[in-house]
Amino acid sequence: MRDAYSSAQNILGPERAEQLRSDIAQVEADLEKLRAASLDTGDEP
Amino acid sequence: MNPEDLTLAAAANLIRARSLSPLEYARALLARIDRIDPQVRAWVTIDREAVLAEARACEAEAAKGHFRGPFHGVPLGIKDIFYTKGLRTTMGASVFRGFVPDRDAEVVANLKRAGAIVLGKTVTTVFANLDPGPTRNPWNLAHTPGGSSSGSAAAVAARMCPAALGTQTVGSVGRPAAFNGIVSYVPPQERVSLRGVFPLAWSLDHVGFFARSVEDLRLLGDVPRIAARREPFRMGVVRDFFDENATDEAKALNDALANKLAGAGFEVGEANLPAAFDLAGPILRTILRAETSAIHEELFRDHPEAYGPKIRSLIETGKLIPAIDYLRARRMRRIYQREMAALFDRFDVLMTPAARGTAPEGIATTGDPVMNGPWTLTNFPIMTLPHALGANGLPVGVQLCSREAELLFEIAGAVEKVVEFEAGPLQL
Repeated sequence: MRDAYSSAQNILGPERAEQLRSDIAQVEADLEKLRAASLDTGDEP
Repeated sequence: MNPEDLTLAAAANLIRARSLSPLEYARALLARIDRIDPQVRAWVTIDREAVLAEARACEAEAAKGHFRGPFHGVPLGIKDIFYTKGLRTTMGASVFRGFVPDRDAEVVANLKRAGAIVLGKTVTTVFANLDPGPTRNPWNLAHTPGGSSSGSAAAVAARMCPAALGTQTVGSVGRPAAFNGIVSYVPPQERVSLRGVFPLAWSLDHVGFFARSVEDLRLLGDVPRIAARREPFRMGVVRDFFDENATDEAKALNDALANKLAGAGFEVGEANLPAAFDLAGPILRTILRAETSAIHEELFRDHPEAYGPKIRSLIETGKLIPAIDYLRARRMRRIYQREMAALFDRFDVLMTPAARGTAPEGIATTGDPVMNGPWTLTNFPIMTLPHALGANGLPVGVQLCSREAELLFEIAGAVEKVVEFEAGPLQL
């Protein structure tokens, strides 16, 4: 994802790049939180 | 009473009793639109001749004692992401400005079969996400009406139609209902068809209804009455996350409502959120980003200019989510739903503020859906009712969620009677 941000920064202006950086940071934080959680749905083998 | 002040049920009953002419009713609503919509800007497309022709047909049928269904001759607003046969449907996006569907969305077709007349298409934010349209709040034109079902909520509040269709993926019905001082109902996804509705996120999208009475929502949602009511109703006040995100005023008004309900015989207690609630945001955002990105992949590539900055960001970041993480979010949603459902072992219904506070000033944002998303994720039936005015004179709503729609309606009807909210909008 950080690669995506680096290439985006070259194409986008600084304002949009900063917004994208912040959005990507939120995606990363969300995925980390989901990956750390127990995944026992109780109805799967 | 002026025709524009009638609720859906009242108008339908008067038409059936031959005390209200469908043609005169349609003309009164169109005149109201002509008078105030230049300020509110709730409507995108109105085919005036088609509306009047349909009203004439309803009038002729009524004269012969023939009624198409419970909504015979009642004009309704339709959010501009529902396909309407022969009527332009833009999704709030420039790329669709000339799109005229050759069929109705299933829910629109059902309403027409029940006698409703499509009054017109109401403003949606761009592709039903967060990039605002031009609509203003009829209670105070300097404020947002909320979104994404901005036009539907404003049109109902401003008496331009008695009821309207919207959609909710995160908070696009409950939030605008609260901001506009009207009632709304979001049924579980499987209960009302999404066929012919332009999607934002397949597994999160819901059809929703706006009206000015709980009884009207019951008719629109086709929710039967419960034969034997179990009282007192057990009301769970949810604090934690919702108190943290509400303004002091919204919290105080919500507490005042809880006390009022306790005084009216409700059994009021505090509901504690389960551990899985901490994951509601990550689950919701991950599913939303991935599905929106997939839905818009081709269109975004070919027409990037049609996209506002907020939905653009959703699509771009959605492309970064691996399939395995999307599927993990979908599976975790089931755990979340199971843990949230357990709250109903102790309570019949849960209540929270329907928005952080009153409608924010300006129309650059449609407000924050933070109070609604966790309930949309449960897929339980959800309602919003106005119950107070803030210090700025704008309405404040309560959000009710139950496990069963039938029970939710019984309780919402009882809450409506306790609240006795006097609706505006006062400026128009």
